[in-house]
Amino acid sequence: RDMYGFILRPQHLQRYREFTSIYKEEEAERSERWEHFLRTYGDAADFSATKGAEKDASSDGEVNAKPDGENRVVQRWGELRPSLNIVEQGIATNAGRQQHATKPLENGDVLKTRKTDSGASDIDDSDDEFYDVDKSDAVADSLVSSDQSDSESAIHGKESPWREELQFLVRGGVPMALRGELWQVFVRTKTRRVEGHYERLLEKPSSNGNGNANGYTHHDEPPSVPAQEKYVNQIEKDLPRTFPGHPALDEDGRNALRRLLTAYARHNPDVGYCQAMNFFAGLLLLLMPEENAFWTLTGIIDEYFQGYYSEKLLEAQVDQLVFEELAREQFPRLISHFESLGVQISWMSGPWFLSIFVNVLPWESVLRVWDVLLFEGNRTMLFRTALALLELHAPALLASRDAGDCISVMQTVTGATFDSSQLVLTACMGFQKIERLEALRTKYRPIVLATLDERAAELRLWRSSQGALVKKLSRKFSSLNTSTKEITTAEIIAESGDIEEIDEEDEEIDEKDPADLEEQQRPGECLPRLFQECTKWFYRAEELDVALMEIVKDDNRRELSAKVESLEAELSTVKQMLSDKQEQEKAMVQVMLRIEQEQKLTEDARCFAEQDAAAQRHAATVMQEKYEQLMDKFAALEKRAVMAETMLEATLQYEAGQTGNLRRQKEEEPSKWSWPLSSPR
Amino acid sequence: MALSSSSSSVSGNEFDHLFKILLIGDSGVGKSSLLLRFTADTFDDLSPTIGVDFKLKLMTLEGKRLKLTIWDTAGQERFRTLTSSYYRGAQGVILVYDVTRRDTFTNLQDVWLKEVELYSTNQDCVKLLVGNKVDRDSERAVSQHEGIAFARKYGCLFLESSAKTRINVQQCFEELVRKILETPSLVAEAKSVKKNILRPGNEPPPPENAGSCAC
Repeated sequence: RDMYGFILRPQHLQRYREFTSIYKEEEAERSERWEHFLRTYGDAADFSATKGAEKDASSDGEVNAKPDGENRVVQRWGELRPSLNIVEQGIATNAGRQQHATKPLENGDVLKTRKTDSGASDIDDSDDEFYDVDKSDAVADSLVSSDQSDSESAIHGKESPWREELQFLVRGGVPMALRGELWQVFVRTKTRRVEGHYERLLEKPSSNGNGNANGYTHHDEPPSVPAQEKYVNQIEKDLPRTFPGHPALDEDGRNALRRLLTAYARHNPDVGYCQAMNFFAGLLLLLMPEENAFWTLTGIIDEYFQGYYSEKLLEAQVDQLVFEELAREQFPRLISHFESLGVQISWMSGPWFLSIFVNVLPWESVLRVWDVLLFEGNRTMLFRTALALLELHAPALLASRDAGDCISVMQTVTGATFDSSQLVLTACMGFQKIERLEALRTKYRPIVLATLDERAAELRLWRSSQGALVKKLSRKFSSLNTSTKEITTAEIIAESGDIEEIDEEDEEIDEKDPADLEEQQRPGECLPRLFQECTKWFYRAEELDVALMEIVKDDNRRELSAKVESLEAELSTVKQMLSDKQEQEKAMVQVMLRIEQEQKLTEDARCFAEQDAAAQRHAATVMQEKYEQLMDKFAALEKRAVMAETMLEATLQYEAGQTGNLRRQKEEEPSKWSWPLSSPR
Repeated sequence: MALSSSSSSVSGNEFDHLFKILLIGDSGVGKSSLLLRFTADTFDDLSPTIGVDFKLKLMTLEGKRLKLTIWDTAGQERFRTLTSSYYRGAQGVILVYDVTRRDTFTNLQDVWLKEVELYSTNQDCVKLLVGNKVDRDSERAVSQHEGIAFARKYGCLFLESSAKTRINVQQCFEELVRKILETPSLVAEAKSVKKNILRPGNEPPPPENAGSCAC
């Protein structure tokens, strides 16, 4: 739980703890500054009393002193401490000025003229009231003149320095002890209050909702009982779902919440009850007594968020388109990143705006945003805060890779925006111009209205005669689809004939209506009959309208289907080309493969050859060696042969020598040796 | 060609398909609770949904890694004017009713189915009918048979669940996703979405919030 009694999400506990001390410091600083401000400009005597009250409040802990249950029931309206008068005056004159400034713009708005008028007269009243106060006030009495406009301008002149300082203070945050009351001052709760109106709303049986003291009257039809039933059930369902587990929303707290929401729904049946209002009402109940909360809520929803929470959520949708444009202007890269992921910024910012950041940001940040928003008297702060959030978290968001990531990153980072001062200051330095906002709103409002009409028509179409028309037309459409090429022209002619027919019928109605009216003026008693007639024609017109729209749509569809066909043809040619290309590629790949194979083969052959060559070389060396060996042997043999020859020669010589010797011996001693030899011969 | 088809499996993204699932139905039937039970397995008192809320869930089914972005839409009638863009590109829609409140069941037929028909861009979009809060069987106002008949009539899957007691919650989403996986056109679309997403991107840095300056 945080210091306001709200449950913290477990994943944020750590960060919250880190910021607790900062919050405390800021709170202390704030209280001091406000005290100083009020002392400077306010009545000193009043202030001392206030100070005492403040001390009491802060001694109850950080949570603002809440009247206990019994008290709340008995004393539903609490007066503000007088020291805040001065702030009140500033706000009142400022609001007056704003109202004057925005009046021409709002008068253009068809829906709201009536409310604006009453609101403006309201303001004028309040201005008068405050001029009275001024008279008795020592600070401003010299400035009051008989002419109202003069006095107004004079006060503006005098108050601008306050205003600046006040603005600075509000941006720094409102001290918790003063928050409830200052918010009431900002919203001018006191001047909104009509005594007894709240009680009357609560007493009223629910069907009697139109015409109330504040001028918020409504269209002729009184809200039907089922509609009432609807919001009663919805409120009942949402009571336990509003800040579940908050200590202040016990049995009594929930009862007060129920009364508050029911009263508002009766007070402004145009809005009735819209989820998210339960958060606002719950928050206000934590800060102020019940009736004060009611009038503050009334101010917020009826003025700040006029048209926002009504059945169609018109202004909420307009604001989303406006915000998208602003965001695109400020963060083109981020938005194009979102678009590339298929994310629409409004998926996230829509809930932000509708819940005024409750349950989106951490509570401290929510309250700080509300401070500024309520002070400024319009919802510009929504845009600023949202832009500031984008700015602060752009890096993380830019890193997201798909729609899911992107959205969950956004949720995580916004939920952990604990640095409320950074957020508010970034926001306040950002987008400033309200005039621009109004211009953008007027630019986008027709678009939203057109979309709403279209949607309504679509739904009506669905309901009309169990969709028989749709079936018929869709059958037509499908038959067309099958043979578009041949029939198109003929069909179009036929169709346009249909349209003309219908147009003629429409004209008929137009012609008939005035005639009927004349008829009616003469005999007054046939009024109901005429009314029936009128309604009948009205329905007929509506039917024709629907039929016409369907025909137009059918035409569009046909155009679209033709487009689809041409696109399909293109697609098929592209596909054909693609497949051709693929085939080519395949062939190429095959060729490449073959070449590769061949290459491999040659490579193999080369390898073999190389191996062969190596073997041959080896063989050659072996042969060489053998040859050398042989040569050696041969040489050796030759040597031997030479030796043998020389020996032979020597032997021969020797032999020759011997024989010579023998001959000589024979010749010398033939007597001795020749006899035995020659004797046998 | 051969190269590019292989690259989709190469990337560092840790899922095969990205599906978008939508939860619709009347206010207070338990859409957010079902989702919270499925994504975080807790049951809590929840605030009403304003506009739309989102949750992410990674799951593995039939060997496929799936990333589900689940859109939890607001139930109150007037928020329906905002929701038409939510249906775009959804592969699955879960129609939730409260078995103890008959009007939430009849509204599916009268209101919600039309929304689906009008705004869903996927012809084959899988529909699942879920009767929630079966833990309060004694207060039951819609019988199981009626649910089955409805589902058969409109071609939906059907389950009865309880976010409180966790009955059939996991199954709801699994059944739906299984059916989506069986539908080739939806799977193909989810794939093309994924390719779109696989643009050059940096690793997401740790979520950085509110800088250091506190003053």
